Amino acid sequence: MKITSHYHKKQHFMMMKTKNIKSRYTILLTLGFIVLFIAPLSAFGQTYYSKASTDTTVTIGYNIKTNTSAISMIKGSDIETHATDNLSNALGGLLTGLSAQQMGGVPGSDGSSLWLRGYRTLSGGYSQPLILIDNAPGDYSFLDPNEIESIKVLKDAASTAIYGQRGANGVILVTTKRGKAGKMSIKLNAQTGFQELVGLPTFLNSYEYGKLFNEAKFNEGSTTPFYDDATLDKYRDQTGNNIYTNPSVDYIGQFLKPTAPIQRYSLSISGGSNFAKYNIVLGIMDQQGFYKYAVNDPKYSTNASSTRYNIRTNLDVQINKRLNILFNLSGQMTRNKSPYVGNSTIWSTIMHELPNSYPIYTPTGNLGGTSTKFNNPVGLMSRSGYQEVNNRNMQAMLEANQQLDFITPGLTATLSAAYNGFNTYGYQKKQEFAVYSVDEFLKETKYGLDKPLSDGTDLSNDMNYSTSLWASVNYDRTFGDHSIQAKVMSYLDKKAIPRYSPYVNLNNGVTVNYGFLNRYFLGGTLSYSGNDNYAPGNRFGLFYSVSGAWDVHKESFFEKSAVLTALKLRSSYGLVGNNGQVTTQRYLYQTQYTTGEGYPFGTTYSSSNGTLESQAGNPFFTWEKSKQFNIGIDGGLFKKIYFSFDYYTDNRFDMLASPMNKLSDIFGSTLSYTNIGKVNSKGFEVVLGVNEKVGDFRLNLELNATFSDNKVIENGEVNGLFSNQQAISKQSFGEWGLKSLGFFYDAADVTNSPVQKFGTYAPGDVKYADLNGDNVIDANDRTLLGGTGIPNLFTSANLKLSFKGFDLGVQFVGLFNRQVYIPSEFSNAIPNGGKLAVGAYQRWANYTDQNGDLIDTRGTAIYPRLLTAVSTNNTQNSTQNIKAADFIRLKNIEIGYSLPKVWMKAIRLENIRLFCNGYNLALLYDEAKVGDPEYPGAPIWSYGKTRILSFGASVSF
Amino acid sequence: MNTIKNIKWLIPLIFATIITSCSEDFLDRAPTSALNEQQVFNDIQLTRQYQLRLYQTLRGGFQSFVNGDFTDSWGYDLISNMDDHCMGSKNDNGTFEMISGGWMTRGENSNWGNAFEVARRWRFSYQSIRAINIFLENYKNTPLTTDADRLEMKTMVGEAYFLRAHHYFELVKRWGGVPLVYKVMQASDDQRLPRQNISVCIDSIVSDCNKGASLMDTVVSSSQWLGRATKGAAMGLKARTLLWGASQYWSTRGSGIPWSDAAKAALDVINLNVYHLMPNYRDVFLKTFNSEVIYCQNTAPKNMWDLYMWTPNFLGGLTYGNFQPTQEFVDCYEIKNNTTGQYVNFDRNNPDHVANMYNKNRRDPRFNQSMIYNGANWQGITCEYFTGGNLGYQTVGSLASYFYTGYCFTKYWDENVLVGTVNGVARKGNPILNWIFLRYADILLMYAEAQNQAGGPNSSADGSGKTALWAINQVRQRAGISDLPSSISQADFDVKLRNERSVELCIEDQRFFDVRRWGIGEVLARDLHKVMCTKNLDGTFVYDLSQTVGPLRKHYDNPDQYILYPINIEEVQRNPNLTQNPGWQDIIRN
Repeated sequence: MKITSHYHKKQHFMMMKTKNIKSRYTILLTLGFIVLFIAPLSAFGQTYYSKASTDTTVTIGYNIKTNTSAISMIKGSDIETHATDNLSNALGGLLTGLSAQQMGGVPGSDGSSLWLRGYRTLSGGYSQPLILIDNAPGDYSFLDPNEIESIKVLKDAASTAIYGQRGANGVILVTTKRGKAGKMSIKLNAQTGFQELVGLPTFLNSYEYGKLFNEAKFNEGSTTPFYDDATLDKYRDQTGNNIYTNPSVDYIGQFLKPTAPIQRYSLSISGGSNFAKYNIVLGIMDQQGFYKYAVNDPKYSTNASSTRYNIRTNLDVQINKRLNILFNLSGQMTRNKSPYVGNSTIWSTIMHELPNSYPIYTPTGNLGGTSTKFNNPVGLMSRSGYQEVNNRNMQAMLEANQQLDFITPGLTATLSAAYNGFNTYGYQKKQEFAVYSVDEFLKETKYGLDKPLSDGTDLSNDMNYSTSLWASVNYDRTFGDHSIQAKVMSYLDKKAIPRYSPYVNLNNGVTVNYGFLNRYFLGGTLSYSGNDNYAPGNRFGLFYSVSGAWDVHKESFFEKSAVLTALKLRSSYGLVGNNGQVTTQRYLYQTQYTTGEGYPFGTTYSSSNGTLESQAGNPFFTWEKSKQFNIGIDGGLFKKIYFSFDYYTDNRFDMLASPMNKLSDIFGSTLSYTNIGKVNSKGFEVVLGVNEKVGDFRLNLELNATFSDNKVIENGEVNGLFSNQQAISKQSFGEWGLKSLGFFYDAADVTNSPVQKFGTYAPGDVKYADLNGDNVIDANDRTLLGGTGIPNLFTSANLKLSFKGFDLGVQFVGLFNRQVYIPSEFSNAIPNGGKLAVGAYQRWANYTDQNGDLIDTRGTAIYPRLLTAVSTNNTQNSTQNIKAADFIRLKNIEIGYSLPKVWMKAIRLENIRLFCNGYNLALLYDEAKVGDPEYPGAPIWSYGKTRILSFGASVSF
Repeated sequence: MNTIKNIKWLIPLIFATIITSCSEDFLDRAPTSALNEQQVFNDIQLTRQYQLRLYQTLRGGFQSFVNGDFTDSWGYDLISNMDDHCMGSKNDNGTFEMISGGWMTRGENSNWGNAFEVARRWRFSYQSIRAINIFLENYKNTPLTTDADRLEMKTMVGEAYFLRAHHYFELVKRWGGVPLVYKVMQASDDQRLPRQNISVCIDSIVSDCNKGASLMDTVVSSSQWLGRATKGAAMGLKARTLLWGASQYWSTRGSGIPWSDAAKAALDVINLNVYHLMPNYRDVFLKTFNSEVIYCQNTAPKNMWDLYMWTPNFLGGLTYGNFQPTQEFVDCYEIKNNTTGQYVNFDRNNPDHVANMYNKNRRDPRFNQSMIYNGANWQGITCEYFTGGNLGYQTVGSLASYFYTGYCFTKYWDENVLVGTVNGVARKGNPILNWIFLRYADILLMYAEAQNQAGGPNSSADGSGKTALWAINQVRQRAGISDLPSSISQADFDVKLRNERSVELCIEDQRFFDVRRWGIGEVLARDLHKVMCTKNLDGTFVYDLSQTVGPLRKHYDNPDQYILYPINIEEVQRNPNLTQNPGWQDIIRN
């Protein structure tokens, strides 16, 4: 199947223009909701197909089997045709317990930040889960989804204690696909589509800008308009010479294409015999940028882009009846490009350059500019040169499984070694261009010089690698009513970054999973885990977990129940560690000395050499510890509804925090971190699903919710703070700032309110709450405004429908109780060298304009009065710019159609499935209503976030 | 296939090997670029460097605290600014903040304010003490192979004891009894030590001084080591400590130090016969390492001193006039009674005195050697401190905020050394400003004070002719003024002695602490005066001494506040075992 590359026309035909998108989506959504709410009520068929794992034993890392842990998992097939290029973007909403936030859309680095069971460490602490691919360290986000068999998220101590010092933030296990014995199967997936930018500000044109600029000047006491009516008229009348002398440039419309292509192709070949099995995956992904004027020359291109090649060979070889060898070799090659000046400069120019600064082209076709402005976007995109970063990731893994049944039945041993190497090399070639200013007589003046591309210079050149090794002896046997799975294992890994000390972990562990009557389960894990960052003698810690589960529905008294068709109780408790450090300072246990300048003795007045203590060691420096408790229930109703509920607590201590507010000066030195922090977290997760099948109609609807909350018990802060300033007993993460009370209404309001200590202010400026009651508004009135970006409640709804050859998948995610920072670019960025956006119309104003009209928006304003000078009063972090931003997004839709089997037989193919899907499609609810609520600053600071629509075909031979 | 069958034991074997090799050694990846304690103190050169750098902890009045450490600021922030004899004209420095009550509101992290002298001085002292304790705990590990090494080490240890005593004295003179740390505190140790009473502190300081004196020689081994401490420095510091202990404030609070001990300690320094008064008072401050200096802080050449110190409006307006003598201080200079030839106390109400205020032939010569005034000649310029004069009062422009007392200190400033040109004006001053912590004249005055208290003006501590009167007259003779009469009463002697200290030791950071130990700290808050000069048409001058000079100082609410510094609020919060000093308990954090 060949996908045409002339998709532009097609996509417009298929996907309507931006204007219409909303209404069409609304229809789609309405349909979706009807299905969503009606489906569970109706009684279709009887067949129950379970997604809950009440019966199953789950295999987690190192082939450990468990019946008692809190785990979420998805299959690779669930995300096989997901539209995004980055796997991390697909996970949020699919895996219960995992919350995600996507920060931007730069091709090649548009991944999401992930938190497992919320943010559970101190602010500034290391919060990332441990991520392992086939039990070895690696970056999963650039894998091709076709490489993936499953992704499992290990959430409680029962499953993470084996990771010792690194388990506390949870573990994400990625398992790659292996071949199956049988005839060769070939699957080709081709997918192409386009990206659209979302969440961009809407900027005012020169006329609108000029009028409001006059208002800003008026607010500052100016009596005559800055732009007189004649000038404003020229801005409004963009004809004739006005486009040169009084331009009004629409930067977004002029420099960003409405869409940019993205495409992905992958080929999987698998099969094998009893002796050897193979699974080979080849993947190509290409994501292009939005720059309208980028050079797209065979020799080089200056558009933002990312091209990735994935390759994987997984081999299983049965050497003899007892020895099985697994061999994986995989690599990802990525090339990311951008103009020489970099994406952030391009975006910053588009987001800030004034519409009336200069015409983009002069009457003679030269690039416009001024003596100080050389940032003509056409020049930046096409004549500034380019940069290219090449990343090479390579992984190799060899694992041997040996049966030792000649010693005793059920005994096996495993040995596994893996290597993960990363190299990056980037270079840049610079070019310079001249700009021309245009005066009122259209006379042009040249500034700067046009120069050819320079020779390349290095941009980045780095490498790192990790090696890991694990070995285990396993015992897995059933004696009558008793089943036992036990494992003794040892693990080590080393991440080497040349010129720094390597990071080394070493782990020894024992884990046991015992079952009685396949109904009662007990699990236990002990691990003795060490890291090189700590003092000799204090490098190892003992971690543990105990867990149990009871399959209640297997009890005789339950067998008859027609209502409750499945029920399992689980619980676990354990101690896990977190040795991740945000600081790059290592070996804080060591007292270190250095040599330096000494004292000027004698009469020469030059310093002698000196030796001094440079770091006071803290021999008790240790890792963060986490006591985790989990209790869960899994069950089914009427053989069609399944549910799962988990409640957890996570009490952490020994967290790194600065002790300097507790450490008396008498100590005589400083300690950058000690283990004084304590944070208690708790939360719950709910899964509620329904499966239905009526004839050929199948439905699966699953609702997920992850709630997490935490509280700082100790963080080393100074005593005697006002309660609003105390971090203790508040949530450990988030942004601090003032509470805005709106705007000063008039001069009397200014006079009658407490004094604000952030610079001058007047009616129309932000008025803040006096939280500490001292009648002065200053930094002491700041308080925790909420977790920026990170939600307390992360929800999702996943709907899957199939009917004959048709299938539909819909995913909604909802993020609640979160705040985001809203850049001033969405309203008034003039004081920061920017322009005005539509938000400016919601500013506070109270004046009589040039035409004698009274403008009074005091009752409705949501932004402070316009100013042209920076108001430090108005730009304080506060609820004025950090706003609640709950949202519900239609995150993903996929519609597929598999051609009828009879047709397939005729053309001797296994299957053809045509599909189309969309990512980041629409917002159903948006509390902040400014930009994209997930991260409004993305287009302002780096690169806009994208919506992706794609279609394609999967063909199996 | 045989080989393949035989590998069935391979994996268990490898596994066993891994388990047994999983030892701590595998984790030994620590960097080697940093030195550890063993490396430093097993190497005589590194140990020597370590010890020599301890001198970096000496910070005198020419340096003040910025952002947690001391930096040079050329007298910008002299403690003398806080006494009643000197007024700082600028209000953006720590000492001004402190006397105007700013320490009650400034946190330790403010860039200026009390952080300089309160929080940071305290912290820096303990940092210094830690560095010294590290040396004293580890020097024994250093291999010494030659006699020269052994002798050097003996001296170095003595110096370390002396430096520790110095830092504790700096703490005690400000805060009274403080926590004593005589070992290197570990992160695991409880740092919340309580304060020791004053007698324990004084005993500890004296003990360190005695150890230091017993190990050090009276002179440094060669001129390249000028600036290192000597036996005399340790003995002098001991004398000063005991004088403090014997003084009113401390003796009434249980120091248990009799005046006789203080007198004996000072006389011991005199009897060393190592130190001699310089023939010329001015030279004491212009010639480094002169025969009068007992210990000082060596500093690199400076040429900014004049900018901060010199009266405003000099050098085309570049100077700040940061600290200026008050009329109260000028009054301390005695004036010669032309009839008797005796120098007597200056009396503002005596028209003859006022008329001859600036008469070189009448006034104590140190007046002319320490400052300029209306009509003084300086670097070829006649100073005109009157409206319309070249250094006249200014009420407009950027300098309007600076006030004038009508005087300017020139004590540390060498009129003849050219250090640069600003706006075409040659700048002259002393580019080398070693801060003198202790000098022989001070020892003589300490002895005079203590011996007078112990046995009267005509007594001596060792039965020799070195009486209290002898000692003070040494200083007076060098200054060029008349001896005190032998008939003077003990009480009158003490009054004269206190005046002598003010005059002789002006802007040496002594008076601020002297008045506190004497228990008369409230003088610091009295109204201070300037001189207003008016030039008559006939060229004569009228001097009006009645005008007070601003800015206003904080008039403390509680007399206890005139005696001791407060402990920084954050430090009290960090260490709840620290008792706040009297008068400061009600400070709240803001």
